[in-house]
Amino acid sequence: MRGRSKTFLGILVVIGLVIWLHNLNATRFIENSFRFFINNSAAFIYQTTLKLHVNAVKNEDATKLKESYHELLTKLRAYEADGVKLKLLEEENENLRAELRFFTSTTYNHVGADVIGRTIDPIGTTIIIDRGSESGIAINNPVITGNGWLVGKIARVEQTTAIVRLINDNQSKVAATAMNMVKSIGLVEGGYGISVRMNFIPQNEIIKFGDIVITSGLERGVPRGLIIGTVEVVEKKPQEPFQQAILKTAANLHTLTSLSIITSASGETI
Amino acid sequence: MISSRRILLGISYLFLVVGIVSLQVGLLFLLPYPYNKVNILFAFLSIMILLKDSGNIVWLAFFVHFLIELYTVTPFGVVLSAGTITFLVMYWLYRSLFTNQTIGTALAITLIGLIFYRAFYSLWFVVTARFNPAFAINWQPLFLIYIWELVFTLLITAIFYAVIVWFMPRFSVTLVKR
Repeated sequence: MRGRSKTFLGILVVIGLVIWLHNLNATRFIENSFRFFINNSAAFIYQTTLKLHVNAVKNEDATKLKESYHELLTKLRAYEADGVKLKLLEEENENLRAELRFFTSTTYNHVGADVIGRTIDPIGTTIIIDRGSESGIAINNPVITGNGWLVGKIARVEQTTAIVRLINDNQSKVAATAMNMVKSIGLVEGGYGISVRMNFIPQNEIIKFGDIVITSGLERGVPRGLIIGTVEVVEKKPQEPFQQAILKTAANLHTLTSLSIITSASGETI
Repeated sequence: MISSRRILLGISYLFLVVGIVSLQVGLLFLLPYPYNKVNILFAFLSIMILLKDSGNIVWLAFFVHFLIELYTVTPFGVVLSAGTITFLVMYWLYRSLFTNQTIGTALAITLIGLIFYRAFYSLWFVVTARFNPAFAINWQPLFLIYIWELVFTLLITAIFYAVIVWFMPRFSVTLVKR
């Protein structure tokens, strides 16, 4: 028992030492070295699995084909695989063009980034991007895709990587406005990667299916007008002062590849 | 003097752990909810306790959770301390209470370990909520996620165990070494 107490104390001391050294930035070199290896291998795995997720090559029943058809079938599969790659490139190109159109019509300073991986902890709903503090990114910077569709906010920043908390994460909170008649103000909160809800909408204000929800601009660092999603279901309970709306997000949060991080609006420091 | 064999073994473990962490980061999103709540790293380490039958596994768990810390949004030290202490407790349970290498032991230490790990992790939520009123916890969906994680991690542990037994006939119900 005494031996176990010593072991337990020894481990606590080591953990405490590592935390202390981390806070002093003494372990930065070791952490960055590991991140370098994990980021590169994770990025490769993420991009490869994303391609498999988008489409799959169908196999035909080769027993019915003669030998000459086998050769043609092999060529067809190669063309289909090229077709998948082309489709992905087209989607990425369109996404980048949409982001460019968005930024030419606004005055936001922004940084582009690629997604290299997703949540490592089953509890959180976060993604990892390949840009960090070296690129001017800071905590709580909004992250968008496409035509100014909000996907999340920066939750953690390192030198060359950052972690984005998606809007459907349980700890995500975004000040929002619904584009209904009265421009209802509320708070968009995530639900453990499953749902996105707009809460604290006054009971007497009318909000309906299809209403677009945008960022209200009332939150420091998040400009007004970023599209969050559209209302799918409204939940009202007569005895409660507020109603809730379940939203469908504008961006597809499951197949994110390239994003933009808004670091500041025209000259303003976020 | 450390032999070259030990050095090679250490480097192999390093690459294995970095590889599994990369898989967890880059691959798990492919699975739909709730299957993507599986904790592959936890299952891997649980099986390693039975396979290696050595206290060095606690230090392996320390290293794995140090790598996980690089990619979480919780304050540094929460996952590291929760994970390392959990695996220390799991190893003690394996050596003192279960003392065999059956599938029952594998599942039992995974179950107890995961409950202990999430209890420790939830303690951080409680402490944070106490000092930061804006940090709200919704316990019902959180516990649902914990349950899904438990179910699928136990399933993966059983699969890992079955694979190990298939390839290693010596890995049977013998008692642990003294």
